Amino acid sequence: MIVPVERGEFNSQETFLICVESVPTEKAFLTRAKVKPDHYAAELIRTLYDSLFHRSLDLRLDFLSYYQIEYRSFRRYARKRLLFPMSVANTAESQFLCGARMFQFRPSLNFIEGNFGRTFLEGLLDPRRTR
Amino acid sequence: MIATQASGQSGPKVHMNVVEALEKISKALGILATQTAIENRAGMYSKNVLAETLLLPVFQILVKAPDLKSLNDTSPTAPFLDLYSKEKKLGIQVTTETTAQKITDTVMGVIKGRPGRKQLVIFLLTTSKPHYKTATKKQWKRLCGKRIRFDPDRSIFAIDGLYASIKLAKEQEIRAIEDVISRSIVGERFIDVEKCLKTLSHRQLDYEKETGKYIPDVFVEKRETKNLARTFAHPALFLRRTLEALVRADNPLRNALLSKAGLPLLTFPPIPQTPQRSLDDTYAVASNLPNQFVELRDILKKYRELTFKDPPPFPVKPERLYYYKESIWPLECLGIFLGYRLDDLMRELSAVSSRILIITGKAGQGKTNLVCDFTENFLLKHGIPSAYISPRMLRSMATADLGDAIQRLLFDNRARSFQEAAELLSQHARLANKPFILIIDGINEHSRISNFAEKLEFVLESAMLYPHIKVLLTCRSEFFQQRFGKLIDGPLKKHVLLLESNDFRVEREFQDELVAGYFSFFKVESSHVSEVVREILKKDTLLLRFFCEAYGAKGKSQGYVQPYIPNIQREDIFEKYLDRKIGAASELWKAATGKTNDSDAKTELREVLVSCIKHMLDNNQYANVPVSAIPVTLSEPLEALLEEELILRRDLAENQSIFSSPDERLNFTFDEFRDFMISHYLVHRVYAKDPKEFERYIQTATPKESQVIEGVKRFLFYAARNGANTKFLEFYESQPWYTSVYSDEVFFVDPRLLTKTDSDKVLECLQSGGSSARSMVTNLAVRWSARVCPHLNLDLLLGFVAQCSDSQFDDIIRPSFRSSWESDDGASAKAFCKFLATSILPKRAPNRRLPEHPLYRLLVILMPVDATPDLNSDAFRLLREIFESNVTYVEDLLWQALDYKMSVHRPYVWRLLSCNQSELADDDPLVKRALAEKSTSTENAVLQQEVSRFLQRRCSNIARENT
Repeated sequence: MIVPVERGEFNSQETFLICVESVPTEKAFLTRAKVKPDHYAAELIRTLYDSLFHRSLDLRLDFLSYYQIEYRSFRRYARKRLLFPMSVANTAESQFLCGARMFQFRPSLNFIEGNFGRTFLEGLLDPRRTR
Repeated sequence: MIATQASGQSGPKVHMNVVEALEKISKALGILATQTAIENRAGMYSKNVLAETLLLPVFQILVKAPDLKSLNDTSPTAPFLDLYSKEKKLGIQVTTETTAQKITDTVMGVIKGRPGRKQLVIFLLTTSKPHYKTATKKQWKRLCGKRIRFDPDRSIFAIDGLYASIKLAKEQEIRAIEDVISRSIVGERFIDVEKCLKTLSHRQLDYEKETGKYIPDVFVEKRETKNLARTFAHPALFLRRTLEALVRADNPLRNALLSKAGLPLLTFPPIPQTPQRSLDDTYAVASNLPNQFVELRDILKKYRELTFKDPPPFPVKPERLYYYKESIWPLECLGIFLGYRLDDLMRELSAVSSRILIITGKAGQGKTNLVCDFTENFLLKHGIPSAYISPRMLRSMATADLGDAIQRLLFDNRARSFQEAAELLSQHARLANKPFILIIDGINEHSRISNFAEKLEFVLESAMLYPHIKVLLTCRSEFFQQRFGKLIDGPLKKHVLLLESNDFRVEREFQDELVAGYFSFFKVESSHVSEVVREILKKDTLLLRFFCEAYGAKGKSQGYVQPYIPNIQREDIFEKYLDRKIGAASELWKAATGKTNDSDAKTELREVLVSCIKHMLDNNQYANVPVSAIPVTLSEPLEALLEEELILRRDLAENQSIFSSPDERLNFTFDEFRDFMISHYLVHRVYAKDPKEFERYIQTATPKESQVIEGVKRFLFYAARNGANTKFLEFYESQPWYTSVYSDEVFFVDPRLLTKTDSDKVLECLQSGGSSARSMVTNLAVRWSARVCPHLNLDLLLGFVAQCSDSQFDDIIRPSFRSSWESDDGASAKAFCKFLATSILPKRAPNRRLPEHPLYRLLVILMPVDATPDLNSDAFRLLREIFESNVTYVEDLLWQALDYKMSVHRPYVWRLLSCNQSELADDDPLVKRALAEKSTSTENAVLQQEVSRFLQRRCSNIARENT
């Protein structure tokens, strides 16, 4: 699931909340993308995988390790600490309660921009939806 | 034997002292034995605490090993030894387990551990030592051989054995041991540090809540200030977070770009692993790591400043020069994003190792709220030893020694000195593996600020001698450099991290929560506050504060019932606020002076304010009133007013010359409140005595202080219109000041005091157009209930719109409701549709007899606002939705709208009417109206098209004829 975090009046950086049941392996990710491991496309997908799951903040872990004592719930953490809009904070909490892993993703790769990019990314994250 | 020795040395008095000391030791060890016997080892009786606070110093004396120290978790023999003396090569294990297996494990562990330990002692935390079999003892001796000196009969002992050893010690040693034991958990002079600190912090938090300086749950963590404070206060935990962030920042994409551009690659220094660390280890990592990033940050700085004109900052491979030239912008981005990210993370590392954190900010920016929220939700919840105090509390200690005042506040005078308190806190912090945080909020609020600054510096220097003690200070920015500058220039500089918390705007959703938080705290009945008022309060936090204090039930008598508040009436709010604050200040003053007469106190406090305002008006200077302007006889009430900065605050004036030091001046805490006070003074003191003098003032008031004059004009307008002073209204109505603010301020007059004349004036203003007409439009639209606002309301606006022309619509109506991408003030067409859809429609279906009816009429008018060329807008979409389930009602609305003079909205009306599926007869009035419209609007192509669409869809006969 990809939840866009609305750009606020004073916040112009595009951010997405990436929710997955579990983090796929890099190999599975490449398979889902239907790219051959030694091709240029695989290079791009590997970079995307790294950006998503290694360079983005793992919100579940961040909350459990550092903020759970301070904020009573994930919703409060998402709202008060991350300043997510209320609707996104509510979605994040329900995802958290379902045990999902969540990443605060700030895209920096051109090929996942726009609607096409988002559909492509959704397919990689949850192949059942696009099958 | 010891007693005899003592008497032989120092006579009967000493003999008694030693006996007394032994009795006390015996009693304390008895308590220890009982407690351990019943296995009450939770909390303060945990083995580690006892080993550190009680047994370590006792063994240091008994075995004459001052270097005996506690082994931390990183030692390879930590599971087998608790205390170790390097000099004596002596290891001591403290254990509650008495089994032979445990002893065997310890012996084996020590032998296998680091070599060099020669002697092993096992202290059993039990009443007495159990009997071990001879075979077992032989086995232990065999295991130790000559490697470790360990005699099972003498090297294992329990509490009774410890007492026996103490009895054999010298007199001086017994006294020293008695001193240690008396201060330990089982001693009579024991101080429960945790309990003392918690009590103090809770007391201060309650006080801040009581005075309304801390409003729980409204703090918005917009900047990183709070996170740096977290890192500062819980370094062992948050260093891990920073190290993880550094690992994430090391993105390989960076080097892909640099490689393609033919530039040298950038490598991150190795980031240390992130296990649980001791405080000392944490500080060491945080101090060393930034040095390893210096080179990388310098390179990034060069990329950050890269321009198209300059030559490459580093040698570029010639064959890749073409790529470099095309990548200057991405390289600059790399320098900016990674560079600033590393700057932030280095700041976090510096927060870990800093000992003093100073948060500065302008007045009213929420420093106290930040500190209180931080204490309540972070420090206390994480069990971080901390004490939250204020200069007011320190002053109340009535001692010249600041250190002494602090220790008395913390431990109720049970520590002998600040040094002893600091030692205790340092030890407590080390055991908890969390530093002790002393918070002094608002250091600028001390009445003798220069003196206090010197003392504070001295106390901080003393505190820095004790490890694990950290201090968090808050101060108003303007005072900091002048009064406390030495903290960042002098010897404390290396310990200090200075953070300037800047003002920030909050987004609309947070404004809603802010208002809800204030309402809940001050017990404001939300259903008794109109939507109009809520919208105004969202935009003005100061007014929100005044409003809540004036109308909320908090601090008021039990029978208080909040009235319904349809409108913001500033004069009423400020009067109530003044009354409350004068009351609070008089309580403070009475407490300080011992005086009992309440009315005397209030009169004198008011006189201080009068003196201040008089000086402002006499000198035409509305800020920085010299303290000397207040008569000396009023100095005590002045101090009471300055105490909590409720009404007046102390400021520093600019230096008159480079040789003079800045002197202290007085200002009103809130500018709007000052304007209210000035207007009050003008009406009740100047006009009441001499109207001509009043007239002279308003004629000579110069626009130099335009902001103040605008504020005063506004409050004079309210004073004239409050219904209590008709004589003043008669006089003031003819003054130019009255008319100049009329269009903006008439909406803030109590609706019950408005008249038909006001309606006529507002209509006149709408007719004349321009910006004042536009501001009136939204003011009228939000006052949609004629029951609450009988005169100036939405009906009046709709009456005007019905008669207005297309050009008036474009000049006044459309811009007033247009949405802006920059901000949403709640009065745009979009916000209006949202309000209708979420707050009105779910409650009840539209009906012309309901008070909400005018809202639906407005919706029709709003259809052209923010519309796309295909006639789509928020209002159109909402009305179409309503139309589906309320056909007759909406058709009536649309039919009525066709009678309006303007034509801008008509295409939308006809398109909506064409959405209805029912067919109409040729002689239906609506069909006739459509045919008439078609024939008269030949120049308006869009309208023609929509009327034709209507006729085609709903009147098949005519459509056939047309075909």
